[in-house]
Amino acid sequence: MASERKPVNRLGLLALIVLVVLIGVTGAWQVLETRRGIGQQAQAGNTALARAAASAIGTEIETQVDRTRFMLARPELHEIFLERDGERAQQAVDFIGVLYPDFVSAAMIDADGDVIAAWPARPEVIGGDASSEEGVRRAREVSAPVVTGPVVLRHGVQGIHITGGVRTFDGRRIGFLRLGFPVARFQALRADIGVPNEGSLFLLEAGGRSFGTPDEESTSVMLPVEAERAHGQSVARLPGLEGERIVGWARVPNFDWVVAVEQPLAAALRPATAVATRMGFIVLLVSMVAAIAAGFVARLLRKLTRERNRSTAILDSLADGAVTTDARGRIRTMNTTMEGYTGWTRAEAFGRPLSDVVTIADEEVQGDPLLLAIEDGRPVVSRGYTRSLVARDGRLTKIGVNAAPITDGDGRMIGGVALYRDVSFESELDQMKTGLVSTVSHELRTPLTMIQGFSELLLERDVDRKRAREAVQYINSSAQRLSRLIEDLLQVSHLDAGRVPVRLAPVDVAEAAEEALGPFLRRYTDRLFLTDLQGLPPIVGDRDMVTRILTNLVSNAVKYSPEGTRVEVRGRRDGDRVILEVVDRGIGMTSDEAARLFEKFFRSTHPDVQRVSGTGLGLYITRGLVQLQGGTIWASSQPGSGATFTVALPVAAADEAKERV
Amino acid sequence: MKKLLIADDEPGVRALVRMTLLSESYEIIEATDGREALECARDDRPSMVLLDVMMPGPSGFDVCRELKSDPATAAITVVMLTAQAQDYDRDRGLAVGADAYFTKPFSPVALLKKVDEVFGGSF
Repeated sequence: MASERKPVNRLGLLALIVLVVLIGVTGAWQVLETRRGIGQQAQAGNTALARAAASAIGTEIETQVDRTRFMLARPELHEIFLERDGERAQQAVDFIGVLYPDFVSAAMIDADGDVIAAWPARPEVIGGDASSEEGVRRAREVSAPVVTGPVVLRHGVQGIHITGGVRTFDGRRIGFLRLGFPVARFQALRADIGVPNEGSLFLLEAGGRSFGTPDEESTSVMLPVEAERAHGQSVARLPGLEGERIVGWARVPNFDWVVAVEQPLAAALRPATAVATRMGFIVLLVSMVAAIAAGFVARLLRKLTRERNRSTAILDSLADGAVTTDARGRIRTMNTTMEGYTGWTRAEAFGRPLSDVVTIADEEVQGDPLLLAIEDGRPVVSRGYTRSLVARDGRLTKIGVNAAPITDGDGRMIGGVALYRDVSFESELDQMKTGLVSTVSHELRTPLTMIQGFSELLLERDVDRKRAREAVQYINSSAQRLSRLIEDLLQVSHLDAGRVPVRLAPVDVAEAAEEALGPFLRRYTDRLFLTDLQGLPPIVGDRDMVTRILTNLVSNAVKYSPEGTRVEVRGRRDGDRVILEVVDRGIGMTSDEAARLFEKFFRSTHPDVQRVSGTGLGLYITRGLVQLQGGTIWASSQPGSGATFTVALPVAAADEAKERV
Repeated sequence: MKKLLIADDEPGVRALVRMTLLSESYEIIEATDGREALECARDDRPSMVLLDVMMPGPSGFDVCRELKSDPATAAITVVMLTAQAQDYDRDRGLAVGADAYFTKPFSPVALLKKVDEVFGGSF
């Protein structure tokens, strides 16, 4: 049943694919969700970091501005500006440099904007860029110190300028103090704010110009991205940086700057990637396990199918019908033979109550043997030949039933099984036997009736001599008849049992005929004639049997043909056989009778035959004897013109003598 | 004259019956098969019929049924003679309306008694 395997395999494969796809989709969705979540988290985190940094930076700038303000208020500074003392100015800036190591540059600038003194003392490296000039310019306008930047401080270090004006008591501006503070020194950017994995923190002007990373050795990075526009976008490409970045933004309070905390997307999503990888492994693992399990299941199913097929094959090869049912008497399996008996296919019968499909007509007993077996929990064996199975089309089949309950290992009843055997032949045989017994019984009782009857009469009544003699004659002939019948019955019994010993030897036909038919010849001198028996080759046969055969046939011939008619026994050779014929001119018989002549107890119903006593066994025995010697016998006749009985026996090869038992 | 029909294919049985009833001056009619039995029964109108069951042609049961269903012959006493002794056959005999049943071998004296009984009453 290979065709049954394919759907199972295909089904299994399909199920596996569906499973994997399901897991994959779930995993992917999970990963995407995680990604999104992590992305959002990262951005939120970065934003928070940015805010914290921005806030810290703002505070720190204020602190440095306060410091500047403090220094601006020193009277020494006033004096220096008023006196225009260059030397003292230099001392002052040197002092500031030592006192406040956070500042990397300090410069005293006169009211015209010229530098009086500077620390470090290399004026040319002090930024003459627009930013430092801008600081002075703006400081002219306002009274509070001004913060400008980004600006390149010494050695290319990015920083801010804090520029404040020095005034006289009457408000006249006499000079400026300008201090340089590196971005790197922002404490917030150093220790307190953590920068995310592989990410960086930028300090940007609102115009997008960056102060660079906290790393002191980094170069400035100009980002033309406008902070406003990028603000709020969780993933952006930032010029100068590779790939997509997750960016968090925050404004520095009171200043026109923005802190940007960015992180490569890949780095941010690394946890998600880890999850994805884990997911991937899980999917792979589960798929492998599922595949193995599916393989096992498929193998098991195949094995089960093979077992089932084998069981089915076994059942289908039985010559008897076989049916199994569940514990409620509903059909589960039915083999091919049973399909034939009932006219139902196993597919149609499946699940139906037993009585729907298996209809049993019983002359004696009611109830289905299989259902009975299930009910009683004991095997049921049907005896006799009274049960018939009624097929769907009404056909009757005589059946014998063997039924038994099926119990599982725990002793629980799980159903029933029954074998249905066609016993038509046995039934016929049984009927024949019964018929035979009746016939024999009748045949025996008839002569007994006469023996018992006549003898009783003689004992109980006064009977005259003539009638007494008649009575005794009947008694005697009946006794003889009984004797012959018993003889014949025994002979028949031996023939049937195959217990007749045969001694084969060359037999001279003429001799055997003389011996067998001597008495007949004497008695029926003018009726019986033997012709053409001389000169026949010897036959292979049992001499006694040959004698018996001839006696039977001739006895029949004279019995069943009228007085005065001729009975002939003649012989001829036909190839490797000798043909013997016994011909009479009696009443003959129909072809129907001729066909049945050799049956046990068969006697023609013709009154001329019935009139003569006979057992009806003679020809049966004769045929048996002929066949034991390897010959054949048949009869031919026309009604009214006599009958010819022909026996063919094998010719003896030279020196052949066998003994068979 | 008390007429009695014996139908049996065995000449010996017929002779036995004849000899049994001889001294009682019954008239014995013989038939050798069922067909002949029916003919004789209708033609000669015996008061009693002894029927062998196993005969060629119509069996004793058939003949009995015929006789009993024909109003002309229904009054005839029918005694079945048979070699079968089972209840089945006895029941069958009674079912077709036989008046009595003898199984072979039977006692002639018993038969005589029965015949006397039957004929004794009607005369």
